[in-house]
Amino acid sequence: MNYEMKEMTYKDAVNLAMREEMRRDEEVFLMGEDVGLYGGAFGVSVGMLEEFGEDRVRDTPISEAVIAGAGAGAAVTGMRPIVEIMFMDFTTIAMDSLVNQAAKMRYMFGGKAKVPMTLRCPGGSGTGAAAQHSQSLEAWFCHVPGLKVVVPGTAADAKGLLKAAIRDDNPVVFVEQKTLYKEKGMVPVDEDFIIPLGKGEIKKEGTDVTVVSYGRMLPRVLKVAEELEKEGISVEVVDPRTLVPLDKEIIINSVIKTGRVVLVNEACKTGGYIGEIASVIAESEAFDYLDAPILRLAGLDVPIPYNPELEKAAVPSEEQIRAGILKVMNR
Amino acid sequence: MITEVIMPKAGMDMQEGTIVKWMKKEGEYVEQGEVLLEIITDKVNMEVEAETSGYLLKILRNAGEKVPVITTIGYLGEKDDKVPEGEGTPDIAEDSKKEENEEVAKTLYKEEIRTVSIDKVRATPVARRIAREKGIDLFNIKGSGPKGRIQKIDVENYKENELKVTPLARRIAEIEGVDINTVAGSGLAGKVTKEDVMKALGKEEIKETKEEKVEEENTKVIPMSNMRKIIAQRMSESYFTAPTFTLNMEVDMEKSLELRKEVKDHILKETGKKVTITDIVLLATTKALMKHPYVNASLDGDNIILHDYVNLAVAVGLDEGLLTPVIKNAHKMTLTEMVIAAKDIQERTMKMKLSPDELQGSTFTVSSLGMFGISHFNPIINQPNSAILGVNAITEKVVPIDGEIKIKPMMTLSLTLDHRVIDGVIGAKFLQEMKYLLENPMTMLI
Repeated sequence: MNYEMKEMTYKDAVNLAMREEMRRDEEVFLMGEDVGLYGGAFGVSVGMLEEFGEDRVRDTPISEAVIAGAGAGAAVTGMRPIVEIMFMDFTTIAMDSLVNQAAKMRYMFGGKAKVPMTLRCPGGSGTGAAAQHSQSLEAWFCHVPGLKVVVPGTAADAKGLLKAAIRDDNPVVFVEQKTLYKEKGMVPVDEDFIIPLGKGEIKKEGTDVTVVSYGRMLPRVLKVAEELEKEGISVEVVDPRTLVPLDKEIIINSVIKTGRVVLVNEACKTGGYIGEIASVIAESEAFDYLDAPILRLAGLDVPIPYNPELEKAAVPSEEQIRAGILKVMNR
Repeated sequence: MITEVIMPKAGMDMQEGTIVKWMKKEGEYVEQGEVLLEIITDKVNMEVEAETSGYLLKILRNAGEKVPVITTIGYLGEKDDKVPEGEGTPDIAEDSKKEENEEVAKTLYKEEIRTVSIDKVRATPVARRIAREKGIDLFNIKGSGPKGRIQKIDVENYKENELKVTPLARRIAEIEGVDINTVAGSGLAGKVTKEDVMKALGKEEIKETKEEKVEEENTKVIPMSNMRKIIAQRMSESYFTAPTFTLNMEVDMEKSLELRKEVKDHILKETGKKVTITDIVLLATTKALMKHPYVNASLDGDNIILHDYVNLAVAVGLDEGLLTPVIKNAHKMTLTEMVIAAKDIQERTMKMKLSPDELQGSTFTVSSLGMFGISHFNPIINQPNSAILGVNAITEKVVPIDGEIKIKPMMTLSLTLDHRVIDGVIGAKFLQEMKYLLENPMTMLI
């Protein structure tokens, strides 16, 4: 479909998605710490209080347990809350409401209850916010049946996927990327532009090696892929966009095509979601097409350091991504 | 279903085996995994287990018979199964059968063959799939990927008519540095076999030349036993490939003898075994080896492999020949543990009750002729070790010390080294270490 496009930042795309949905459906509302007057810790909800008023853009006390609990409760009673947790790290406090309540209710009430709640939280390092404000914890949520997990890596995806998340009748953990907030991209301004959850995208076509990546690592991967293209290595970049449900088909088909795969994410390597993707590939038909071991490039298994140089060193760099791709290519 | 019972190929070198005893009679039922018969190979006694459950329908070869490997020696099956006619000798279509047999042996004795890593091919999944689809044997393909891994492109570029080579022949060619492409194949469809490579190396096993038989009176011709043949082959290989030199060092054994005296009763009480000077020398050897990794190295083609453990082979002389059973992980042992391990392996060697595994994997060898009063000798290296230590007799000698004449129990250590791997200085330092340890044996106990 051809949409009217406008260049905007990732942050503004999130803002626009929320506004459009709140204009469309009055059951949709936003709540979280400093989302109103202050416009959100990262300025994502700037101007929304003015447009929608205090009833629909609600500042909450500093209690993630309350935010998530109230969100789950409102969702069950028929609202479509968007709740913001200021840093993904603080979802630890919201876990019971999210994991034991929101994720389970539809199942335990035999489908009679719906929990159309979207929990937005910025994840990832790169802002000098140190170990308690820089984590990439998406794998935790992927492990809980009943939750959907979305990690958009571009402004357009952020808009299309957030709208889909808000309209979804299940709890969705929507992981935004702090360092991508200011990144610009072409975004469809059409209100009907929606990206269905569970549908990945080939961000760049290629024939020699598949790189599966999402979120903050995606722009890095794309940059390296473009460079390598000039050197005669054709890299296909696959962005699953939604981790749960996962678009297995797009990944498997790409690996069957190229025979080589590198997986890149920012989260710690041990127990990270790309390990799951590696298993999906190894168990699939794509196994018999592999011409090199599956390679994971992930964050080090360390708390994110405060020191900016060490912070950079804790997650895959462009050089490491490049080296990883070359290794898998036996170059 | 009828299952053949075969003489297993229990080792790379095994050509034939002798049936010692059938544990079951014809008509008797045997469970899978139950011991069916005992055989003696050229080196060890071993038990052969039933591959499947069933009745032992027929015994083709009886106790005492010497049988080539892979020969059918009996049949297992259901009571009313018909036993095939004739004897299951492998001499029909020798070559192709032999190859098949090698396959069978490979599956039967994976463990065995894995130690020389020829049954494993490193190949990517896609390379395997394409090879499978095209019916190509991956053994015939040279891999271009990391560590010789066969990639998709290698299989795609492989031409059907390309050289066919048996894994063993390829392995030997690799070790000996023979270009396999120059070797003419005599096997099935021109396949290059071990014999072809050996021929190319000029190491053709010498066939009997009967016409030149010069029989004199009072001479007796004794055909070589299998063990003898293997010793001959391995020693020649070692002697003719490794440029060796031997270093000798005299050691004052006074303190080691004192140590032995001191701990003898204690160890005897603890273990029921007598500690010998050899045990103390073995202990010193492991300690010294851990400090001098090159003496403990193996040579594999162009690679020197260093080991951070000591698997100590000990030469044990038997009436029929010589075996070098291995004390595994000797570097971890205390003197008491060394005494137990050395005695145990020696006793079982004498009784020929070793598993093939216990004759492999050594990193260094010790050969002692001290008990025969030998003062010096040049032992031949037990390949792929890079050195061997000869231990000689302790004899009282007049030794000048600080201008005085003393009588001391002296012993010479003879270290033969493979000059491809080790230079004289390293060997000399190793012997210095040995001398220090044996002259200050308490240091080994701390």
